[in-house]
Amino acid sequence: MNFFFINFSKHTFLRCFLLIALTCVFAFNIGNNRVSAAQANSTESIYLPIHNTKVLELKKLLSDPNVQQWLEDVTVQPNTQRTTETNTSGFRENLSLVIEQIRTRKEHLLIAWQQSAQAPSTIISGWQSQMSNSQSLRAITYILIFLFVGAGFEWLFAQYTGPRLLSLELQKPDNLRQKVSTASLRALFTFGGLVFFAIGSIGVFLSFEWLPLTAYLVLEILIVILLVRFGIAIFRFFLAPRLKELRLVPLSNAEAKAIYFWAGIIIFLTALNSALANIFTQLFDALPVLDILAVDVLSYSALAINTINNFALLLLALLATYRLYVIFSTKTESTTTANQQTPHNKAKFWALYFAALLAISYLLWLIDIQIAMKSLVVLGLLIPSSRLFATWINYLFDQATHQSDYSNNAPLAYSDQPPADELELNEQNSNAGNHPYENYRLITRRLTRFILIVVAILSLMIIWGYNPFSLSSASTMTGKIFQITIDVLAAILIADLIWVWARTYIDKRLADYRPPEDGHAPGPEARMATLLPLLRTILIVTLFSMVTFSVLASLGFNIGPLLAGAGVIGLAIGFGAQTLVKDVVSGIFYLIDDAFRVGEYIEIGDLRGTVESISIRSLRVRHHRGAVHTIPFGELKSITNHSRDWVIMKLEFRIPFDTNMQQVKKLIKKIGVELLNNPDFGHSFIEPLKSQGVRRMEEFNMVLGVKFMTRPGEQWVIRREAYHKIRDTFEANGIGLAERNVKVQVLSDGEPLNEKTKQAIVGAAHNAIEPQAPKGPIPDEP
Amino acid sequence: MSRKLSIISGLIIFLFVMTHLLNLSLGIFSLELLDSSRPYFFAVWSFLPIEILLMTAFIIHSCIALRSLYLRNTLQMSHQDKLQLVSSLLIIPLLIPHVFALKMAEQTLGASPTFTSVLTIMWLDLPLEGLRQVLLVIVVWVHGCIGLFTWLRLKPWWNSLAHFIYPLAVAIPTLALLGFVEAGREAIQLHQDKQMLSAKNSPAADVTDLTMLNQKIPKTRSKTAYTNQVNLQLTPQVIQALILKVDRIKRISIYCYFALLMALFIARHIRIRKNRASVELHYGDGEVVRSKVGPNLLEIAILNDIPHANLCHGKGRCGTCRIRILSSSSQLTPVSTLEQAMLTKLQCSDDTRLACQTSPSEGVIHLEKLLAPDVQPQNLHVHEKTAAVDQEALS
Repeated sequence: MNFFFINFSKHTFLRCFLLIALTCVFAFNIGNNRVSAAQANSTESIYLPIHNTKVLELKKLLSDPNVQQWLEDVTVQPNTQRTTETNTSGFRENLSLVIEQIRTRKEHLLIAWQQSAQAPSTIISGWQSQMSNSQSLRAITYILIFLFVGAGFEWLFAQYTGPRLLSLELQKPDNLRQKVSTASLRALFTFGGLVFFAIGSIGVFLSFEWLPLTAYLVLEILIVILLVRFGIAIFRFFLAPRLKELRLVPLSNAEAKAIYFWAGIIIFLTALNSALANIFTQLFDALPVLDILAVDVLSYSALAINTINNFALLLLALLATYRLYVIFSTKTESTTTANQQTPHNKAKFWALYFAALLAISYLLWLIDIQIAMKSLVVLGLLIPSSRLFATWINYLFDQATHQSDYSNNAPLAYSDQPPADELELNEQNSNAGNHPYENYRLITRRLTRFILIVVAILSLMIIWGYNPFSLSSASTMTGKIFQITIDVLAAILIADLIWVWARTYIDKRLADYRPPEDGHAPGPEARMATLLPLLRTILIVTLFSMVTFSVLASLGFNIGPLLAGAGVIGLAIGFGAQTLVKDVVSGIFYLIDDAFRVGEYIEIGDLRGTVESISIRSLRVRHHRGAVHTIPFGELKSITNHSRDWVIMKLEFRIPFDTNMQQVKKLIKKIGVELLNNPDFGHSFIEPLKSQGVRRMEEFNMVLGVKFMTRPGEQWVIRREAYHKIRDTFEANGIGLAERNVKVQVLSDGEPLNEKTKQAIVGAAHNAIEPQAPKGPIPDEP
Repeated sequence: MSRKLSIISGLIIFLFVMTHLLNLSLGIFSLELLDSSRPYFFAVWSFLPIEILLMTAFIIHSCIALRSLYLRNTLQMSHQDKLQLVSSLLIIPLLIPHVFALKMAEQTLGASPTFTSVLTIMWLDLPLEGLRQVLLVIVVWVHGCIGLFTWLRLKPWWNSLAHFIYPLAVAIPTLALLGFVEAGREAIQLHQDKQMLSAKNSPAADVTDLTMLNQKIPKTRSKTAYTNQVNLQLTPQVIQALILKVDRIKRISIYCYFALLMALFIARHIRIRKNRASVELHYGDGEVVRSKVGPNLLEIAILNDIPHANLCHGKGRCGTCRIRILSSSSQLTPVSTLEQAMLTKLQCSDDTRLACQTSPSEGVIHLEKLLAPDVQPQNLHVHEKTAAVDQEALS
């Protein structure tokens, strides 16, 4: 199981890299938007026959604040009108619009293709019109100086933190927490260096004055360098290509190095491409507005260069996919023997999946349907990334739960040897099941999925042009649909999250519960076994009804009447089932109080007996003579529990006044020791049998007190045995238990009494004793 | 011997560069200050014996560097060593134009050119020269610092001083470059002002102004600037010929340098071509490494990502890379005098070797590292002290 997981995870981590590649391409295309926008502007402006003077007039007009106000007023209305128009216009018109767009794009691409040979020279001449050669060279000099200063700052930082970093890299963390903290600390040092680099380079940049275009160029290059380094640092944090001990993902050295290498290249090229696109845009902005032809030619050249760049990036990403596929598939083939087919196919599937995704998104970018492309990318990334995260979380939990086992097992799984015997692994897994973290595995996975879905929806909304944070004002159909979808999904996902968490918790508690063996008192889990299924049912019903109501409400149904109806019915049922509800609710509280458990001997009013079963409504108690009492919880006032913790039993003996108390004390002590050593019940003693001395004096005798403390339920046997022993011992030592004897003093003058008189005297004395006779048997005891 | 020479010559060059850069950093304040302070900074260096010493140091240093490159077994090394090697190779081609241009200017004018003229050329007329110069400063400084710190960090007093010297190592070139930029901007401004002024007064005056600025441009581009140099009694043809000549010499020397480098690499390749066998290393902590024969034990460790202490970067000066050979079926290179001196100094047993001085041949070696990979110079001295105390106590 564990072994499968590792294999499986390799494939999912193949995805990891591809994800990044795609995101990069995606981000880069955003960068290119501006180009196409600029181009669109320029192409539109061709058809406007403007004269210089008119433009100036228009500018003058536009700068007038009154005119601006008026323009704002006017433009607000048409905008709303236009949106409704596009809504009403049918599918056919929309489609034709898109096709028209694609057609113009195709023409642009054709022109760009024809111009592609001269494109670099066009761009260079356009560049030179803005910046002379010496200016460009000077800019490069400046950049070199900035980079050097930044690197110097970073070096300085490294000199002071270097020894600490080195010792950090050399320590071998043995559990996950340590591993994560060490890796984070290392990343912190890396980012600290980056910050110093940024401070050095950008700080020096800010201390100079610049021409706008030069400033833009220099800043763009600095930002690209910083971004690339930042991205690579993040990869380093997770992959740690040189340090296996600090790696947070289940990959071998070779795999981590390969992913790191390709990710670095792709990040770098993406950043470069987007920077180029941005610089082109900036170049168009800097060109004089009236030089339409030049701008047009330039924009086509830029388009040609961008297309070629993107194509190169695509090819590179495909190559990276292929290389990683090769690495991962050969790796698994050598590791798996029984399970050869599925992981291999999996790697193949994901490689093909990403290749297709990359190719399609490039095509969509090429025909300039940005919305479709971005939606595709977001949706295409959602599934692999959610699975990737699930695998990763599984891996982290595995590491956290059997830290020590894993460290022994990991090298085995990574190397080319077959894994250790399955039994051992299974054992580990069952061990892992008991770990406290295990409760959170499922919930964490759900939570990440939840977050991913929310992020995907939000980015889709942004792509489709809806600000997710001002949706309430959205009046369009699509906006409404988005709003409803978001509401419904949020309700369902949150309910799901709560439900998963509660269910894992309850199921785990229930699975851990073992019913007590016969003759043993049940532990405290017994009441949870009663309570938890009940709670689970209540929770699912509540969640379900709440989600239903929330969904209905967001769909636009008026749930007021529903709620009112439910309220009325609830009220009626509540009145009818008052006692029932009372029983159930007070039962829950008794259970929470832990007032009694199954198997305990309790006393409720006049009733007493062993608790046999606890239901939702009532309690079943069996009297030791066999009678069964069923008592609803609502009827319980107070409960006496005889089976808790300890019991003190006190015994009394009546002994004559002339008994030697020292001897009695010794004898009792001896008996106490004997009883304590009894194999049958000796272990039940909490305090041994001991004499309490004379408790009181009576008419004819002394009362000797003896007591002992035992576990509940054991006291009866011990009492029996104690009586037995004490009587025997006393007899053996000549201590008689006091008997009721009445001395009758007859005032005769020494004359012997005859039999008849004696009889009469005894009869008279008997009458005197009679009222003091014992009152009857002691109440029932089991 | 060669190491000592290399350190001494390197120190001399480093001192010169530092003086030069400190001078340049005054450019932050003003161009005038820069020019007026120049004689003080260069007073020592223009003294003839010292100038000769500097030249000798430079030649010795580069020869030793080329020799050690030839003797290197592998070109894969730590990032720092790589950086040092690449920067050392770059220095000469970057330096040649600077030196030749200055020398030529000195010859033709009879005096060394001022900062003002040089900066104007570098920022205005030939920005590529400026770029080259910045590159040169960076490369030289990085190379110098690596060498200096590698040497210094083994000194016992270094730890107390390091924290104050490190900022200086960044501050000096940063300030110098900033001074270069600021003074360059000032020079551009000055030039533009003059141009405007001369355009107002007379177009002819423009040319004389330019001559002063363009004295040493080794290009035909500023040919006109030399037509009016009457005060030097040199005809423009002569200057032109001189420029071309210097240009040619410059180019030839750079080509020569690259040819020499190429020859060196080829020779080195021939030397290590025979290394085909492989050696297997078993470390004490269970790591096993296979490698080609050729590189020494330290290089093998670094190539295979095995952390290994090496404070002096394999120069045999620190002894932190020492290892104990447990058993070996491979023929190790014999102990050199340098290594022997270090081993005696550290009072090591017979089976101890310096990893950076020991190259294995084919076979299997069991060995253990004697020092932790993250050993720091301060720990080193403590260790030595305690070791010495132990020795005393034993004897």
